[in-house]
Amino acid sequence: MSRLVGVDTGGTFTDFVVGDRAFKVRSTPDDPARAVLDGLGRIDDHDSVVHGTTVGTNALLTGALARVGFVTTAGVEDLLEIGRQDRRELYALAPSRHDPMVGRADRIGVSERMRADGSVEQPLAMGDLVERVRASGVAAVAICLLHAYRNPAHERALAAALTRALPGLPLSVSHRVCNEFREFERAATTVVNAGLLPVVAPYVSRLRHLDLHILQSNGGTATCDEVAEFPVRTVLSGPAGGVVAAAALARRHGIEQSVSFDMGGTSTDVSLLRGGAARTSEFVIGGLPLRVPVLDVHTVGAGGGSVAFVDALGVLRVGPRSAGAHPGPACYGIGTEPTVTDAHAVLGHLSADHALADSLALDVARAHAAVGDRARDIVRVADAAMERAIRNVTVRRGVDPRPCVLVAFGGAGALHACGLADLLGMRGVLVPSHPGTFSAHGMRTADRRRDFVRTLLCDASSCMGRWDALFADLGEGLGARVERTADVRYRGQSHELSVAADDRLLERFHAAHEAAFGYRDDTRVVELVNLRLAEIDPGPPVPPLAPRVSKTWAQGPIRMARAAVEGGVAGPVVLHEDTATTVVPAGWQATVCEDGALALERTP
Amino acid sequence: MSVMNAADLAVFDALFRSVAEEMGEALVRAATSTNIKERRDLSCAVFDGDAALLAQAAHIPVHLGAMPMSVRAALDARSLAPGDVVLLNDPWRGGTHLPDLTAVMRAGRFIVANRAHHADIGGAAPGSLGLARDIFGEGLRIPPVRFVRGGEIDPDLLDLFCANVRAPRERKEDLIAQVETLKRGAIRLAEAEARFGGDALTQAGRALREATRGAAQRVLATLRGGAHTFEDQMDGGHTIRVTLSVEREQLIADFAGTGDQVELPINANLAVTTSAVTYALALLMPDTAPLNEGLRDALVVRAPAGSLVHANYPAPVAGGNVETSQRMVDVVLGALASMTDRIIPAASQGTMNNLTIGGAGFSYYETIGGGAGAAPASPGASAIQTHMTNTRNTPIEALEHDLPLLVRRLAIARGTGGAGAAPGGDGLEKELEFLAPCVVHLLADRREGQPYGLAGGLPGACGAAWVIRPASEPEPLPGRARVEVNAGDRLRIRTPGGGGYGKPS
Repeated sequence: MSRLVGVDTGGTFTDFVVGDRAFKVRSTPDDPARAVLDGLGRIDDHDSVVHGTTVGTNALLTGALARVGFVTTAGVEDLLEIGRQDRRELYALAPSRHDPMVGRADRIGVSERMRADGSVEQPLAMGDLVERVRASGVAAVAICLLHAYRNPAHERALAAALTRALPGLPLSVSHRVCNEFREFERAATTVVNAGLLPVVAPYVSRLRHLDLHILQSNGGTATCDEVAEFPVRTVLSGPAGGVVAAAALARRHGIEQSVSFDMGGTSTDVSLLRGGAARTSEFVIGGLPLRVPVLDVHTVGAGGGSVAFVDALGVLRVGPRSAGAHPGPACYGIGTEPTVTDAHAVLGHLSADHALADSLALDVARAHAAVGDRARDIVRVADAAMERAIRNVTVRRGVDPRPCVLVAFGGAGALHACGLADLLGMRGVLVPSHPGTFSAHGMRTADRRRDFVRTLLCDASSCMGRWDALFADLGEGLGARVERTADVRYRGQSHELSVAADDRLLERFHAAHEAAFGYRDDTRVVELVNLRLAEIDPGPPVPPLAPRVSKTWAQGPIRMARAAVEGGVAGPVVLHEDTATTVVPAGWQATVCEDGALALERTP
Repeated sequence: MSVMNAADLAVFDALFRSVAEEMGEALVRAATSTNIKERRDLSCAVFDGDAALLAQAAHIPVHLGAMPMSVRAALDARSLAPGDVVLLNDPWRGGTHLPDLTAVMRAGRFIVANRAHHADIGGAAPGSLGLARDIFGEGLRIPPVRFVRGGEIDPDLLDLFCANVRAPRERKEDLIAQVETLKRGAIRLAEAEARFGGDALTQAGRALREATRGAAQRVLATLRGGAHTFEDQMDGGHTIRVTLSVEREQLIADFAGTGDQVELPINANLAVTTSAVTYALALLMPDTAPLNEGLRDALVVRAPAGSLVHANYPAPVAGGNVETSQRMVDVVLGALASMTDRIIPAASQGTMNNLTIGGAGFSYYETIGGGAGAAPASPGASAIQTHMTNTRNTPIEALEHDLPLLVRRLAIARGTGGAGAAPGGDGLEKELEFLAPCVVHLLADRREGQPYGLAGGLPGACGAAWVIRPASEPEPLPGRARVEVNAGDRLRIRTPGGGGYGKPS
């Protein structure tokens, strides 16, 4: 039996999966490593550990980044504050914008200039840079010069000088962090990385004595050293575990197209799976664009704890405000506001004597008092928000949701799954065994992965037959498997599609463009924007978690023998187990698969 | 479904919004031009069969009030058979200014439409935002025409169109993207009809309109009674004057006293003026309110024909959409400030600083952000797009890769925001160096009159621009200018700051 441990730090619980055992430890937000070490202490003998961390995410979202000095080309010092000059709310009396992250006094321009072709327009003159950085008292420095993706010489020289003069000062350099064009996005990524260095590095060093790998936002694992240098790559570490696990589950079940649906307490993460999980490098968090490879996850602010209310116009809204862990849904005995979980309690989807996480008893009467006669309506409105999210990841990418299977997990995923599949006409639903700790399980199945990128901005047809040369100095030559892709577009466009980089690239791109946008134009110049290389070492094979053996199954108020479910059960029925509940509506049937997953299909 | 309850409203509100958003997303991705893709100068909307707005994707506020007029004009002029798309830009038949092309299509019992600002529509100046004296100098005028018949683009119309614009290939690709995007919206609506039934959708549209109108009326009920007048001057002394009052639960915006239309491209048509007032009312609405026809139900716009805000044919109107509309918002907000207590912000930069650069084989257009006016409790944001636009800038690295330009400076123009208990936002300073001969057009305002402060706050600084030629003194440019530049010349633009709020301490 594999002794590989998966550890997933969440807002309320830190989940552990080892062998066929899964358990939860209360998270310690003031010092997240404590819960990790505490839980690992409960496992007698384990070997390596794969860890999903929210340390970086939380620091970013709560504005707890370290103070960063921003070194850039003279003349564009305000780059981070100006951004793309747009405002967040279109109709606001006092419009706001993203946090510029670096105070005006900490922005330092240096005399230098590269041109778009990489030629030096003005040589580097460092001036009193070192003195200014020393005097500023910043905790880390980010360097981002114009066109450094094309010629990083000046960035390298600056980094060397600062390292020499101020050893120990954490440095984040744009061509290393994010070697892509578009200066605001690259600078934001570099600055966030710098701000995370003093936060994440000490955390990692507390765990370094373990044989530890950390899950990155791209769904692959990294060493402690890599994460200590590029902490920005872990910003979506949390949701990545679930997506990786869902992709592995779908693959095992031979499902080609599916949607991963991870519904937790405050939010829901949705991702399209085609063969595997899709990756993107365009995502925005806290109003900031970060250009690092991430699994393509769409998040909506609606989960089990989301509060329902009627707005000033008489329209029922669910979320984005959440009752969170405190006070929690009304049915947990403290809160009074109606939440999605309360609606399910009223509808009889949660059994009254069922032990909830943290040994809370379910107070259905209290849920009734909060929800009134709106239980079904609250579920409908929550479903509408999640339907929009699933459309967002499918239709907008040119994928029809109907042939897809919904892979539902997280505390509340299986409550909504069949209803959503009906709304979207999806083929079926798959609920993994142990849906509540599925992400921690998924981390154990993740590959070791290193991503590299370089901007080329050239006519793609000029690259044919030269791929080995083009990729020669990208990457570290490691990895059992190498994936070469390219971000490509019709010249003049500003959005790229990623396709495999080989001599069939042009045809692949035209076809992908037609699939995504509805047309192709074989006469247009195709521009190759970025080369991407992934070096991958597949993780060790991890057996699926043991089938559900000791779970209690119930049909409405009546307990059912597990055997009765295994043989297939027709809806309407509600299936309870540990921390998750599956609603099987009329017209649906459920069967237990060999690996313990629950397969839900429409009754023939 | 006979009666719409609170959950029905939420479900259908989400549906209409997501159709509009999905069309918007598709258009951004499918289009070719920087203007649509990077700057996102577009809007997509869903209407009922009577051209009442159901939902509009939040892209560009100046399109908000004007889109329904385009749809109505399209329906009046042409019968819309399934698979037909009507195209138009005529400012007197549903358009705003000529570069904004609107496409309208029937989708079952609904209508879908989109509008995109094309980087060129012909006329004397590259970018079609030059200093014409009448509409004929501004480019190709397109009355409502059936551009697509039975699903096929009319090749004759396409040829005619392409023969009259610069960079015809890009124009053609953007137009095709507009048409394809509409089809996507139609598919979504057909699915929704199959799922909910057409009658339920129609009823939902009406109920949401009622809900929005009710919310607007409740907002209006909080305003002080009587007539409240405010006026301001655009550069050159052109007055914009509005008198606001609430009568029979409607906000009456009367522009009597506004100056006559002029032979300058700053005239606005009624669609643009309606948009500006609609936008100001939208600012007062609760956050979650759907912005649909119900908003317009609560408004009456009166504008004297032949004035700057309701120009008659054949006035030039290129800047009405981008310049005069910005100022109208500040004027309407100025009047609203005396009808409410401590919520309305001071004047914002009041211009979009339209910059068009034409050179060998290219035409580039951008609008430049500036200072936002301070609100009572919050300082104005700096170097940001305000009010009627929210287009993004083009990254320096993208610009320099594509065009013979170097961006020498992009900075916040410190100290240009008006002082106040809450200071106004600072403007932006941008300096471009040309690497090849170009023709530059600037269409901007607030070079003479400063953006006003409120409640004792000081006004923001005026904007300015200079051409800097090697070995000579910087040469100031007026707000509306055409200038030829050579390699090595520079253009420096400083945009206005926002007004401050409350006496500075």
